[in-house]
Amino acid sequence: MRNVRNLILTIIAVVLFAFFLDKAPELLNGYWQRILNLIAINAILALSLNLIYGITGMFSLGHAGFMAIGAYVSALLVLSPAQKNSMWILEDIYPWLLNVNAPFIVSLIIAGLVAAFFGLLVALPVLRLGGDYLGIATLGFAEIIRILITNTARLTNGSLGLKGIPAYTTLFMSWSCLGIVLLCTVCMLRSNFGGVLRAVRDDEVAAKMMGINTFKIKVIAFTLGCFGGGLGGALMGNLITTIDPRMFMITQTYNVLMIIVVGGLGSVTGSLIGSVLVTTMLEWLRFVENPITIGSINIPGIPGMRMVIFSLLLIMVIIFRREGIMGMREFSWNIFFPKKKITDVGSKTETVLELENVKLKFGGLSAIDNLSMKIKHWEIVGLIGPNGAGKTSAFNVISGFYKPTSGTIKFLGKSIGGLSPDEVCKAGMSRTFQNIRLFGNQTVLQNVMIGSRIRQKYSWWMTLLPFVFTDVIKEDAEARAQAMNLLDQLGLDAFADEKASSLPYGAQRRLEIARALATRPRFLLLDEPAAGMNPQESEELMKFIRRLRDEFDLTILLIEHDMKVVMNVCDYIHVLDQGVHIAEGTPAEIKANPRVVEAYLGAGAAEGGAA
Amino acid sequence: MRKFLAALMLVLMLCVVASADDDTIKVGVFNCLTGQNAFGGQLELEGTQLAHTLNPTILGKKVELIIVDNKSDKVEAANAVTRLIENDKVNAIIGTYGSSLAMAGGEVAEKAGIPVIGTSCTNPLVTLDKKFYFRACFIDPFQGAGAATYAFRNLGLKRAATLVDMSNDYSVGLGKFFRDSFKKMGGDIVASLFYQSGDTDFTAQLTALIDAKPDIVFLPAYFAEGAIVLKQAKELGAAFKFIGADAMDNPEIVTLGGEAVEGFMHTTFAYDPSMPEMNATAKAFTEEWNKIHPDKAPNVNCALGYDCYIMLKDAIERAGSAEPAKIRDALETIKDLPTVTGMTTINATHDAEKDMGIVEIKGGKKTFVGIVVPEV
Repeated sequence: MRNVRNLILTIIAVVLFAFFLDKAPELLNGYWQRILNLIAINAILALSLNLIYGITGMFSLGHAGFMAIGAYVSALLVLSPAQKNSMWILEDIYPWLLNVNAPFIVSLIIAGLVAAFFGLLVALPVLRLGGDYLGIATLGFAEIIRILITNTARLTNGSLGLKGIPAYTTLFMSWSCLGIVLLCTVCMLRSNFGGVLRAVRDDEVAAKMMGINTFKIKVIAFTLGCFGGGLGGALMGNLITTIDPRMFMITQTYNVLMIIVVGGLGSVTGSLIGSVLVTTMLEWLRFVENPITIGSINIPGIPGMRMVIFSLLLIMVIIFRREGIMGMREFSWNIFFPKKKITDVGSKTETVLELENVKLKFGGLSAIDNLSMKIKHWEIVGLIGPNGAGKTSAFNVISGFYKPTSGTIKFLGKSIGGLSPDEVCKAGMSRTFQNIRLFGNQTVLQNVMIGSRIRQKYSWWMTLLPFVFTDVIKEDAEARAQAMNLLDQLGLDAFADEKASSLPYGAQRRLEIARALATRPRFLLLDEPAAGMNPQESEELMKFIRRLRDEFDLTILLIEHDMKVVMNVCDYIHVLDQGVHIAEGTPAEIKANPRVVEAYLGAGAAEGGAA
Repeated sequence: MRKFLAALMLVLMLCVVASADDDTIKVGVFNCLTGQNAFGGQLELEGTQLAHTLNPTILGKKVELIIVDNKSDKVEAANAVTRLIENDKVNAIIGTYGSSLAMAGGEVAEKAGIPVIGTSCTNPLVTLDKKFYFRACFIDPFQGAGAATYAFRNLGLKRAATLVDMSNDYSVGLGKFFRDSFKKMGGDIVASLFYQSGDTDFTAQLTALIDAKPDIVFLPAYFAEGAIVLKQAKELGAAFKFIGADAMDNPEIVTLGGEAVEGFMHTTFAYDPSMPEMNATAKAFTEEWNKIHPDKAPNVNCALGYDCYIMLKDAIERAGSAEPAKIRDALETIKDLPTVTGMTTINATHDAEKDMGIVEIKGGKKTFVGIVVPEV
């Protein structure tokens, strides 16, 4: 119901705006039309950088480079042979280039594709880097592009630049492009794939354990962002009608970055608001450079004054709203309608894995030494040992975060030693983490839906046009229903639309398990599920773990320090001490094992029989 | 805080004072008053303002200068010109330093049919195929050929080399036209070397130049890099002479360059405060300038800014009207107009044809050594 209402409101808004654009030539003078045009182009650029930086979390400073590629490709395609002939006055143009020609719309698409292709070339080596390093690498790339353009005069006319590019970027053109980009972006971000993008930003490690090939996701997002950069650059070139390499310096990237930081990193709405504000403010503030007369006081115009005031306004935004105007929130029609309050927050309460002589060494340090164990279907197995015994290392080896130094790991009869976490996940294994790793900025429901992404069949590009590829809508609806079902079973349904990081501690632990279950694992690894729980909560947890096994037909391996939990819930227990597998057996056997007691309490205690 | 901000905004908005008067001629000035080209843009603006102060009325109508900054940025340049035309309804426009900015702004003016006179945008592409763009300066090919002519004919030098800023359209263009013209007259180009704007170490290029043994090196650089090149050449003991172009025309060249610039020559417009025989316009300009700016000598940028206004005044007076289309037609027929930088004639491509001067630093002083007629 709500969705239908929102859709109708959106359509009305779009039609009204289209009507306004149609009448714009009569209502507005050329100056305001130009600014309106710039807003659309800036918005396209901001959206595309936001996809890379704000949403997928890759700090890229290379946007100017991709804009340059787009602008040049489009310009070279739309310029007529005669114009080209007259412009290459220093060196001759390549003969093949002279007669290359394409209609404007085709040139826009090719501009985007070429930029995306370069983006892909950059992404493959560079996205292995993260954080600041990625920023530096992309910054360097943009500079390389600029210098290439300067030095390939036969192709680009070098530093002379190009002029007389037909002014094809009309209001209609730029806003249609923005409309399409916006539609695709919003559709993609609303689909489960969009959730995956944000998951990679929030916690790459956890995303991997949800079966997501995070490198591939980053490459896709980066390449898509570069397409937007190229498109924006092409539109800009056809608006200004002249381009040269010096137009695409790092300051061009900063302009776009400024828009998305002011608007809010990760918010589509924020990018739109940001581009309106930044574009109009700089122009509107021009009056402060004119001589001003207030009463009898004459203030002479000072060139550059508007930059000072603009910078002050920016600083104020950053001081008072560090997360930008929108933060990560999005516009929704729902804000105009009263929201239903959530009132009741009730709480409801074969061999699978085989390790053989697994060793894990970090340099000279042996974290795991010759670990062998078998875990049978339907068992709940505990892995215990004092701090530093190698329990979490064992988990990391099994789930693919570390590659074993030697030895074999078989899961459901297949060897998985050396597979990456996402491949292990796809094989049917999932895990939780000792320190909770949720996608904190997303809702509880979105967290769980990301877990079901590995079972969805639609490809990422279909999410750009979900009305054409209706599988996206259908499969997402299924995923949503399944996720709601899971939340229901785990007593989290009341929180479905809350931000994951706002949940109480116990609920976050359960949510992490729900998310793991959404990948439909056969085998679940729980890393200290009872950590930080009071006795009553751990009591509930024990029941909960058994119920999990029964309801989801699982085999469970858990690390736990709470001996009461371990002894009560586990069918079988393995004990590690300093990387060495020192004992295994039923809880009763372990309790009576002197080596275990020694490992936990020291040699003297074992003789006293303190266990 | 929010209320305070809102109040501040309101005050700022109320400060926008719009003035409309039918009996005024509105002349827009768009130039780089901030950003990387601000140095040249400011000087040109001051030249234009001086001309306006001395000639506040044309055809008995008051002239209003409307000044907008283009931040040395292409997007802003196009915005600035659009604003002048659409919001301020100017009759004509003067500007700008920087050819790429002129091209961005020129496209807008062309469509609106408002005449523009460029100050020092020397790239040939600026006026190419444009009905409404004119300029007070000569173009890069003309100047490159002028430097070559002076070196070959006047100085009798046969071996030349060029050192060009690869990332700068002005420098690349001049270098190319110097080489072409020098070869055509029968000279040898013994080396053609490059650098990028912002470079600070030129020893590699200079060593290569020393090895090539030219008689003269053409250095079409901006002052920032050019001064360093001259200094490092001096340190390396280079025996050849340097000749530059008008971008090296800086009033403070001697203070900044010291001994290293001694003997350096550059082509420029036929105006320099040190000229022995100034025409009447130049004399008046220099006197008035020194009255207003006693601590700062004028240079060619100031002169060109001034000349644009004089050209506009002449066109409006001959047209007998301030209608943009009529101004345009009159601009096209400017012939032998006395301006600060010599007699100005607008040719078929809307570029100014005027004498070219040569300045040499002699005994720690900028000295105007003569006029040259380029063999293009």
